[in-house]
Amino acid sequence: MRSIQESLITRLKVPTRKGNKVIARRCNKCGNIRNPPRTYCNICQGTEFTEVIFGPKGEITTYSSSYKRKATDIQRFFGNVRLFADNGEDSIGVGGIFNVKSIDELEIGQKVELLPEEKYNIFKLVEE
Amino acid sequence: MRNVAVVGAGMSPFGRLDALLYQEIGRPAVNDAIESAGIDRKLIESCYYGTCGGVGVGHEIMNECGMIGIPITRVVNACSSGSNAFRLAFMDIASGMSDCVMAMGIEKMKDVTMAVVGGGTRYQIEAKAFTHGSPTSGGGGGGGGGGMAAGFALMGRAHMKIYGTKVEDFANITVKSRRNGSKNPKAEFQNIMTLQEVLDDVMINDPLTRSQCCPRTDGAAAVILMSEDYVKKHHIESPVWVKGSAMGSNFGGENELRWYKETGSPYPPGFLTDYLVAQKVYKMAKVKPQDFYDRGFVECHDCFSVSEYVHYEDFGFCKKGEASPLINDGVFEIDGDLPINPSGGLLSVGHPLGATGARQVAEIFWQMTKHKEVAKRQVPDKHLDLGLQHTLGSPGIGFTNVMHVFSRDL
Repeated sequence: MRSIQESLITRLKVPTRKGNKVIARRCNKCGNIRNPPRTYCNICQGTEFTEVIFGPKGEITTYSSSYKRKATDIQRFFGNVRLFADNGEDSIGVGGIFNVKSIDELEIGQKVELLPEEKYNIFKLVEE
Repeated sequence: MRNVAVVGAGMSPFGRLDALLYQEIGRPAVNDAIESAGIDRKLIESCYYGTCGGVGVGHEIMNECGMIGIPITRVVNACSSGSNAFRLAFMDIASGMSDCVMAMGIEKMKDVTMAVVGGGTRYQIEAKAFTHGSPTSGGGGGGGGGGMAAGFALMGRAHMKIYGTKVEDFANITVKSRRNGSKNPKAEFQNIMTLQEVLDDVMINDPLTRSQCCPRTDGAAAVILMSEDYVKKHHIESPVWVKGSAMGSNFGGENELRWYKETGSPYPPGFLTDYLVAQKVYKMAKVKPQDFYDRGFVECHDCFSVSEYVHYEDFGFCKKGEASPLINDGVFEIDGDLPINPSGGLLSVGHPLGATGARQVAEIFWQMTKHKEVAKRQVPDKHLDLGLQHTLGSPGIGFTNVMHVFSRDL
């Protein structure tokens, strides 16, 4: 039974982060980028992939703040980032937290960099 | 396909109904629907009920209402559960399978989040499954923020940047909602709020304040549908005809962005599924967005102020980014050019997930038949020819959208 289950698992046990970069996979058949990786492409059902590296540079596409129920709660500032590949052509959308103290520091279009923390996506602002 | 009409509707009060069992909430709604239709309950041949958390409650309620032995189907599609139940009831009759069907929705939301009610067992096992992940339609996975309000807050922020929309424009939608809700004795919130009160309310996820987010509400609604043959046979005086029914879904994320690029659509930020399903239901009903300005009104899914704002655009009532002056000039008020959410919408009536779709259909039925239920918020007669009903559900991942067009005329 265990081997049957193992044969149905589609989550690839491969690293998806390396330092301050995201490792995604591009379908060799249709070009769809899959992140996190799976054994199949959800567009064409293809099963062959090539690694594509994104980051650390990106751009904020939107942001908001977490709910602060009590004054002592830590407020987080989160949002979505368009993370760029080295080839300058590809990008993927990822969510994460911004390393700032106030929402007023954030702006859509702001350049950011992914930090090497690998459990979460944490971004710092980049001076232009 | 046969013609189908709504012939009766009922609704419980919406609010925190902690002291009531599911069937104590649902049974009055069902009985009121039957009474308003003026029919013998034995005519009802099947029932579809929308609910995310109410396992088996439809069966219990129908049993308590004396409708025993009929096919009863529970429909679970997050916030679109009630609409989806209505659509299935419509298809049951339109296909010729039945002549009289009940569509119901019911939910109790106490001490649960939408993720838990909507996700149930899967949420407990696979909590990580519930991230939207779409760069444009919301979500902040990967360790960032989460939850429904967060997703719409992200959408609102992007809308402000791209189109210059202001926080006041979103907040004015709540002001309209509360004004209409104050005329709805079954709404959870019936207090009028000023723009400043909405802006100064507790911040949930910037820029959304608490009153710009729909509450977690208990409630039930039920409607009865009939075939044209039965409408004539049972002398139903004021049927409200279903002219269009459509449904769709999308997953957001990169797939959606690819669609925007391939089609050259200017849609982000908004709901792709709203836009596509609106096209489908308009085509089926042979109507255009302008027809609603001329002779219609709308009950749409204002789970957050931001969502109602983008619905105006996605339904074709205005171009992207151009709703603000329409909102601020009162175009969408009950006495405006296009009444939207005369009931008070989800923001004021409340949002019991499974009940909302059925509640919206009930509102459209009462408005079109000039029922005493809507006496204080009656839409002017010139806008009662067409009704548009819409729900947008997020079943954990992606969106599912259901829309119907109604008419007084066959």
